[in-house]
Amino acid sequence: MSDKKGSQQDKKIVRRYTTKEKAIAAAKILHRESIVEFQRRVTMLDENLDRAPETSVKCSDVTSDVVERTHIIWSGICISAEEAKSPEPPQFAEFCLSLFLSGAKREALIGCLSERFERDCERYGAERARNMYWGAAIRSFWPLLRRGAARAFKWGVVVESVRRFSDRTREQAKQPRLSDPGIATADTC
Amino acid sequence: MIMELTTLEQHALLAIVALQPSAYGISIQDHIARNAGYEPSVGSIYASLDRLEDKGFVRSKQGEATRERGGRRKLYFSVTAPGQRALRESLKAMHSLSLAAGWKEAVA
Repeated sequence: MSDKKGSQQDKKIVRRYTTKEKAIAAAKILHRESIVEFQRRVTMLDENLDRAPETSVKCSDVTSDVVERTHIIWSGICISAEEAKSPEPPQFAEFCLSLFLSGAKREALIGCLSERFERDCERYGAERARNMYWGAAIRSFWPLLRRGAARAFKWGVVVESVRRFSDRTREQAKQPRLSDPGIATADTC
Repeated sequence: MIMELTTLEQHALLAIVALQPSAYGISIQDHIARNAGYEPSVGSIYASLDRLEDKGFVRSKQGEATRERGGRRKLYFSVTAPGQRALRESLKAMHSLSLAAGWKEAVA
């Protein structure tokens, strides 16, 4: 009976190791700012497991006490990884918005949306903030598109006027002038 | 010079005047939402500001980059003298129209 219970616990441990490995992988990616703190935590974790860092552990090596302590540390890593994680706004929405404006205004617009996203993350959480970012981006598309089209139209009109003007000038240059010596007028005939 | 202003342009100009010298996208949006009772999208604010800048009614100046903006710089706006004149004209026209419609009490 106790063996069965033990093996079930082992399975749990294996599962927890899997979670732990994932947590470490996540923490490695997310703990960009405080990698030293992360390394300290991992070392502490390895010390608690009585093992050399980054080696595989057999289930039999681990006592339930260690598992408990380890679990707490794992949770700590997960929480700190979550805390350190600075969620980023949707890249595709950013890209779409950046098509409509140029230069400093584009930078400012994306910056404003990022600032709002950051504020929404603190208030409502990353997932909802991401949805709100998409909402704001979609609401912004039409006015920006209209502005871009108006600008393009304005430049189109300017380009067209310049083209017509240059065509007319070229045509006028090609036409022979009445005062040219080779042209006979009605009076001279 | 074209002096007509749309409602959002009017609101944006008033917000810039109220928030000077720290009027930028988000602060203008918040000011309008707080005082006018509707929240225009950031895109529509920037489109309006772009239009106003083309007309010569506002001027922009790049500010500092902050962490929460992902390292991107703010763009501060200020109203130029023609912008102030256009805003005054626009508000005066609105006031005259409301008076002509007999809305003196309602506006007051």
